[in-house]
Amino acid sequence: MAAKSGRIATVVFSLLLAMFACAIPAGAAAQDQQRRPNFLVIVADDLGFSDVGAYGGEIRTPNIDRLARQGLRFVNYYVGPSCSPTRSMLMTGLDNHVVGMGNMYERTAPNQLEQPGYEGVLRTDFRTIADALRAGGYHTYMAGKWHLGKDPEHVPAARGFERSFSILPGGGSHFSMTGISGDEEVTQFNADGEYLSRLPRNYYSTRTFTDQIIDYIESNRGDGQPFFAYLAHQAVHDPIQVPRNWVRRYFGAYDDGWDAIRERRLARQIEMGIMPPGTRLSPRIWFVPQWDDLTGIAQAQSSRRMEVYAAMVEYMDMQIGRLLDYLENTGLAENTIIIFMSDNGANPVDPLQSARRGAGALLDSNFYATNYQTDFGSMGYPDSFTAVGTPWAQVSSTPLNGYKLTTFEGGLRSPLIVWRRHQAAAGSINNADILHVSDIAPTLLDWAGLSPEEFNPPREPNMQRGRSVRAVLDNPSASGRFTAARGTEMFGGRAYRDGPWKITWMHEPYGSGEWQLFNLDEDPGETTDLSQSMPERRTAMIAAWEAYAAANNVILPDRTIYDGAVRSVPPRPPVDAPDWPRGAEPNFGTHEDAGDRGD
Amino acid sequence: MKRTLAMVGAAAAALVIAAPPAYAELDGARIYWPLPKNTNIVGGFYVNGEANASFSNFTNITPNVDISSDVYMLTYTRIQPLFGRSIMWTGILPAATINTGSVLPLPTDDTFVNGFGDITLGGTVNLFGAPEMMAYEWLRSDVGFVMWAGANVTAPTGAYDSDQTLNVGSNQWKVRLSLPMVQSFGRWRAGERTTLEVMPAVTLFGDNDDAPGGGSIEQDPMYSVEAHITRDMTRDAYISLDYTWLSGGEETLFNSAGSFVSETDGVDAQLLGVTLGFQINDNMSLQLTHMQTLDEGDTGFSLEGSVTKVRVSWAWHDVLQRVQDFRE
Repeated sequence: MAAKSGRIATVVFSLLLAMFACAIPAGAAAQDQQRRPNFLVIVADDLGFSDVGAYGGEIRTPNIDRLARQGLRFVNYYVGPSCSPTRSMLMTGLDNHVVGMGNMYERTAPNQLEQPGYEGVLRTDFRTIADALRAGGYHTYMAGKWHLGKDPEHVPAARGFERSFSILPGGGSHFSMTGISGDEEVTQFNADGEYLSRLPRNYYSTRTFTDQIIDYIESNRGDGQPFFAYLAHQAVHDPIQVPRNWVRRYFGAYDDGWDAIRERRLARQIEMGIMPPGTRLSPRIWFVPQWDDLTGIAQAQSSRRMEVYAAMVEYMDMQIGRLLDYLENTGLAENTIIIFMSDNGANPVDPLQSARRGAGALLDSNFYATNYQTDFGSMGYPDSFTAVGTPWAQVSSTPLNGYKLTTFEGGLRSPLIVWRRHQAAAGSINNADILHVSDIAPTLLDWAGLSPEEFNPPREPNMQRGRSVRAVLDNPSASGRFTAARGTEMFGGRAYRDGPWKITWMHEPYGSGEWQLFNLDEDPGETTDLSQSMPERRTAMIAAWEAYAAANNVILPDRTIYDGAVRSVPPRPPVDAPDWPRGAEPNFGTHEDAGDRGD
Repeated sequence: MKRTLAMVGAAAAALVIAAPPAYAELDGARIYWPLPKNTNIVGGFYVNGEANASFSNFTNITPNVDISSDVYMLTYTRIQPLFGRSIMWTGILPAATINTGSVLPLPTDDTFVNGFGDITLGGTVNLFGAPEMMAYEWLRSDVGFVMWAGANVTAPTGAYDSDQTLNVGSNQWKVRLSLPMVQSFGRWRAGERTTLEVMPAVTLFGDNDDAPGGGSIEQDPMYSVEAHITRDMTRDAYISLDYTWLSGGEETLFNSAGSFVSETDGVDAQLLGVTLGFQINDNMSLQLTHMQTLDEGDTGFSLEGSVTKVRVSWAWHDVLQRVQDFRE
């Protein structure tokens, strides 16, 4: 009997022990998740400021819009004017000129070669947000475009990501390993540190990256560790390609042309509160004709590009929706903070046009002719190469001036949506705070309970550095506290934002070749140069930019993508931007002629 | 844009309407695709027919003979608007040489004839799926279901001599009414296009009042149905499986006094074949067709033989040409 009682006691004890053992991790995980949120950072590529519905776009983006309705939207959110510099700042919280991306590696100028900060890769002596969060107990996942280095020591697996699937260069086919130019004929991919010789079955960048990030999250779900997931979509970088059944999804949606679409977007932005009443559109780029002046064929050719682009944006939104559904269905959404942004403004470059002229014409022409279909009927298909080009890039930037590769607002501003369950002041639009991509990493660390101050501490006293902006995210009613000055430089283009003021220097003919001063609170389209009326402020801000440049290792390039632009594009018509009636026919006369007319 | 004109060329490659010689009862594949208005197509045909039938209407079937016909056709087609729809205006000028060999019981000088055939003029108007289109509208359009109604009139202008049994011309008026239909499947993109094309038609014949040997000939209507399943093989080449059914055309011969002399059976034949089409350049295309009659047994009253067709087309459209020239 005693023996029997002993066995029973042993069994009961064992069961209790087992139950207790099971209960501890679950409880700890629940507590852990209460304390430390998961992070999902979604970065679109070359998405313009106004493309998604939440920022006034007509493109159907219900999932991103849902994030915006339930989260926070920021109007004054700044990124770099091109992709890899932005990504370097996102990863490190420091200025791109410091961490190795002073220029894109594809565009490094002769005087920048061999210079620290211009290595063209994310330097390994700076930590990434993935390094810091992983060390702090986070799972770290990455899927998508990396563009911060291709060597083994620079790929995501070496830069803090526990699991990764990445396209290493700046772009390529969305369906294959076909590269993006004659310089990069084959696209390199890397998964968990291994270079890939072939892609997963049914590969399409947007879909596959989403699959991967879900797989990574799912693989460790429930182990009690929070995660940091970086989903860096390649969409909507050129070549704009969508699954076949999506090519005609926006058939006819852009038949009214770029001017009409811009007007409508601005009207919606004003109605939504994204832009203040009275906002003026930036002038249509002078060498872009008004829509009605195009022949029917030119209109058809052009609108098809935007149709495909819109379909690509919507497809990305659909995949984001799939990811959101996964988070909802697994309960992870309860404790996940989601950030959505773009890496720079909309892309104005049509590589096919560039391939037809210039020094690299033969190489690139041969490459595109060999590797892609470039005819009208193929636009958007998996084997095609299509880009939206300047006119539609400006639509994507509405109402801002410029686009990717410029330091106008259209190049630097991105949508920023921050979502979390039970967000205070959900759906509000923040026009007051000026946030920057380098603020993301410190803010995540702050939320994670890790020290932002210890993350990549500045090596120079005045080095530009991201700040935790958690305060305004946790308490949106206290907006307006982040208006610190920010400087920018890329390809010799420069900008400095301080409160409502901004100075911009852009190469001719896109800019004036001089510093221009704008009040962005009143004139987000940068239509009115205040240099003449406010010379002191202009001078002070130029000095501020120079201080920024000195503290952040800015080396102005002696060769840029804008060299020769004055001769290769039509001269700017002699009009003052504010009074230039959109829809008016620009006069492509010479500068001298313009002067004679006294315009 | 470079390929836009090629797209016109490809679509227009087959755009040559049936010619008056009997072989041209066969329209061929990819004829009835929509095209922008003001498209022009010039076509050159060579058709070789080996059959047990006379040249003009596939009738007068004579068993155990081999009549070889070499037909040359020059065609012109232009697409124009008509009350908001597309209409194809077509003119066809045929010429031919016919060799009966020596087995046919004919005078020696009848074994070889040549000359121009009967001229055909006609129009085929779209009922559904191909409205009047500017070049840019056509450029953006997809082909789904397309239906046309065609009427071609053949005048007795060809070389004809009632003293000869064989003639290139038929010496009779003909009206061909057709109702071509095209249904595409999948995506409408060069290299991926698939179509099913069905073309029912009826040809009505006027009397030949100066029949060989005197007298006159009355001929009953001839019915035909063509069907093609076409599929792009590459962006510049396609294949078509072709099927044709021909029926009718019975002839009744009357003497000069108007009395009944004899009656010949009409045709009741089926042909199967294959077409290969190639886009040579932006304007020019080549189409090769071979069709063979299905074996109808040895009744001696069925059409038996084969048709081999080579077609070269040159298509141009002013606007697209100018755009292309500028681009290049």
